[in-house]
Amino acid sequence: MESLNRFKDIELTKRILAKTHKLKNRPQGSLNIMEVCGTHTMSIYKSGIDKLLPSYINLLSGPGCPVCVTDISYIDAALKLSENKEVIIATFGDMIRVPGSSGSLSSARANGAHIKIVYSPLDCIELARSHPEKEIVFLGIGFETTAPSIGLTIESAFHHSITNLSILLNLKTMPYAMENLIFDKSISIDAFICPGHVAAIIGTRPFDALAKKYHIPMVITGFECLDIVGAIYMLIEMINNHAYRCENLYKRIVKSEGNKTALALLDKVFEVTDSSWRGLGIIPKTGLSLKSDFKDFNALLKFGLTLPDVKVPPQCLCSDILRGVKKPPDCLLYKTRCTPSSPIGACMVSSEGTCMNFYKYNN
Amino acid sequence: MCIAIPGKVLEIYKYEALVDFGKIQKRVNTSLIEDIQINDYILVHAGYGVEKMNEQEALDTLSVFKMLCDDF
Ligand code: SF4
Repeated sequence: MESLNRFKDIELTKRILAKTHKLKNRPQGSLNIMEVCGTHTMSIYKSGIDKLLPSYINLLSGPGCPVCVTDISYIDAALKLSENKEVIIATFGDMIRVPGSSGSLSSARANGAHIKIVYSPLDCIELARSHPEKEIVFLGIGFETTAPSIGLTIESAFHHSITNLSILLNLKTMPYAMENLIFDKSISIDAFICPGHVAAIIGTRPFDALAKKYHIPMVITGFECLDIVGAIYMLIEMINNHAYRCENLYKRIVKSEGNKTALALLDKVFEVTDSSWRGLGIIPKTGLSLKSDFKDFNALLKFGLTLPDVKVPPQCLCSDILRGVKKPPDCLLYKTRCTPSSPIGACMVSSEGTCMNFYKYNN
Repeated sequence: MCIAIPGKVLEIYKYEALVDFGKIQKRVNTSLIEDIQINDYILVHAGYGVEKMNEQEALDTLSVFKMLCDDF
């Protein structure tokens, strides 16, 4: 599709950037614009957009990286599970290097634990079939974008009466987490770049409702430079014009009602619950748990696990980084004891983490 | 890990499609996308099709971006 390549148009991107610099009618003071999607974080740092904007625009990376917002207690529960010789842990690759209170899944694997990296939770169906003597546990983290793939997996396992598969579930949802950030007194957010692929599932309305309720302009956009620079320009205009709504610049994918089939699936399999976010604490109504029909797939119940209360390592500023309050160089451990090859906090592990991206593209 | 990648539908099965991502081709679960056709572009994340790409909307958004620069 030729039009897709045109979103990579550097000339047009530069023209919008130049126009952003020449805006006469610019708002007073500095502007904090937050993105809450790890893929946006990656695109922004990789392309250097953060350095090409006028200095009064402050781009903040929020809690948009699912690996980064996963609590240490969850990693500890996965590590505990990995000691069980009957269990094969299946996980997205980014998870295995995240440090728990003692070690990571990667170190557990080196010590003989059965840990398999999968591309999709759906791969666990085949894994469960080909290892009937084992228990397969998928580490089910992610936001609304990933939830349908886990929902499809559970539905399929249920339908095919697969009993040796369960999910250590830690799905999170975005709108109330954004509301939590709006309430946060340590940071003042003037506008949001909304997560395009979360919006593909839930639609534009939850964001529009937040924008109207709290008078914060929002734009849903794609992931190419043109998408992001165009969204920032539009947000400044919206701030100037007091346009408190959510604009959709990602209509090639995002419908206002979202993906109705995916939403029906989520409604069938999951129910809304509170969720504990690394660095942000427990945020009401930001988690998904399994409905009782599917409780047999709940790894916590199946293996009698609990999530212990664990503190983040001293000096790690992940909590402030994930709320946009601090930047990675503000952390004493950044580039000293915490590096991508020897990470201390989750933000330095994931390819979408703020510290990792800062390290990669500011060195 | 939220990355979703567009690919072109080559073959359609009951709940799946063979999708071409340029360097690789992969079978993808398409049960959450309606009216999928061969040659459609779909966005894929973690093994399932998230949504169909809408070419007309893509062109319309490109015109919005062009308009942003028009008076410049
Ligand atoms: S540099 Fe490392 S320790 Fe510091 S906030 Fe980032 S991830 Fe945490």
